[in-house]
Amino acid sequence: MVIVAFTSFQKSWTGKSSLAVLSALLASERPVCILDCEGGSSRALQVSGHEGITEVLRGSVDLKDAVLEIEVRKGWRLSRKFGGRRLRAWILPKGREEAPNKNLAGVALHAARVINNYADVAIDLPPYRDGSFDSILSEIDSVAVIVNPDPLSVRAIVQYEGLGRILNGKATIKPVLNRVRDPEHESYVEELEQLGDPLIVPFDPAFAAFPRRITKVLAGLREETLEALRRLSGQLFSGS
Amino acid sequence: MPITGEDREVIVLGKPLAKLPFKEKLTLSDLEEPLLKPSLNLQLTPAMPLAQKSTVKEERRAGQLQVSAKARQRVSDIVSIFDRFSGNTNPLVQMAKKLLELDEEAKRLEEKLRRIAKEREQIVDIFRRLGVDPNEVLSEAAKTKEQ
Repeated sequence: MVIVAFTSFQKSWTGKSSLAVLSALLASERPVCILDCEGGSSRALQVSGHEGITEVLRGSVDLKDAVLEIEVRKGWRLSRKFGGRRLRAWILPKGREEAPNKNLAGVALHAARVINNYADVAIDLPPYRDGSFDSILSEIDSVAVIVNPDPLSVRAIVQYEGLGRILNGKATIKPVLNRVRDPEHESYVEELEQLGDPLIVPFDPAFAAFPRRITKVLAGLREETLEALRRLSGQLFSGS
Repeated sequence: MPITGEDREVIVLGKPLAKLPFKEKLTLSDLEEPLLKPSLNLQLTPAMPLAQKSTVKEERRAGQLQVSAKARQRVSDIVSIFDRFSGNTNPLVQMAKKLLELDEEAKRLEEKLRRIAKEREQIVDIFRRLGVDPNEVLSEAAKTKEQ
């Protein structure tokens, strides 16, 4: 079983949470537990009001009581698209309190290691500028680096100052070029190849409904997007 | 606007870790030494190099191969989690089940071996008391049959 982090380092709005949630839901053979350090996954899976990682950090709730198993309800559109497949995942929500990134990083790694005894773990990281989560990234199995196809976004990733430490750690880097609509994205792919073999996720208008309407996102995904997400899930999680 | 039960797109099925055998209250202080570290995971333990293997004493190696009660409980937990999640299609679930079956089979064979050894011991004891060699008895019997 593996621990994977979804990050764009200091960049925000790259689609980390949507990719973390969807790839977790598409892993059908064993549970993937989303460990939400950011809040987006909790909102998408409608568990923002639940106790979570910040309460575990303060000691007001046990980790074992904070992890939830959820299922996305399937109406007729989702049933037609996904058949009998259950859209389930586990989640350790962000929680109702606030906590500094540095403290979250410590508890997230410990919690991930405990949960990893029973499930694959997807850590959804917030954007951070102080290097606070870099220590996690060099300790886990894989890092999905989410990048958008624009020069600033790509530069922010390949020139990130903490990258050397992460590349020297044990984690496998998986660059993901997300929201690709320009057929001329080859130059970005070439730049990202210095980190690992990039995976392309096409632009899809269905993502506009994230995080408010997860069923609308799932129902509206184009076949090529779904295929890319399945590939991502398969490459990141051990049982997919 | 709050999400009501009718509007919910996502339902919470439960707390999957709540029933697992965590030692006590698992809070931040416990996380310093997680109950089940990945290094204790039987499947994750790196294989020992061959050269090193040959120097390990037989008894010690046998000890390592025995599945502890704690590990057996863990296999059972993982099987039930994967079973519930995947509807019994995961190859790892099949492997975990097979492991439990083999474990049971090994226990049965050990019991049979113990029974055979006990029976043999009783017969050897009878021959010892009579002061007779069982091989001689067999050769005498063969001779008698020939005549």
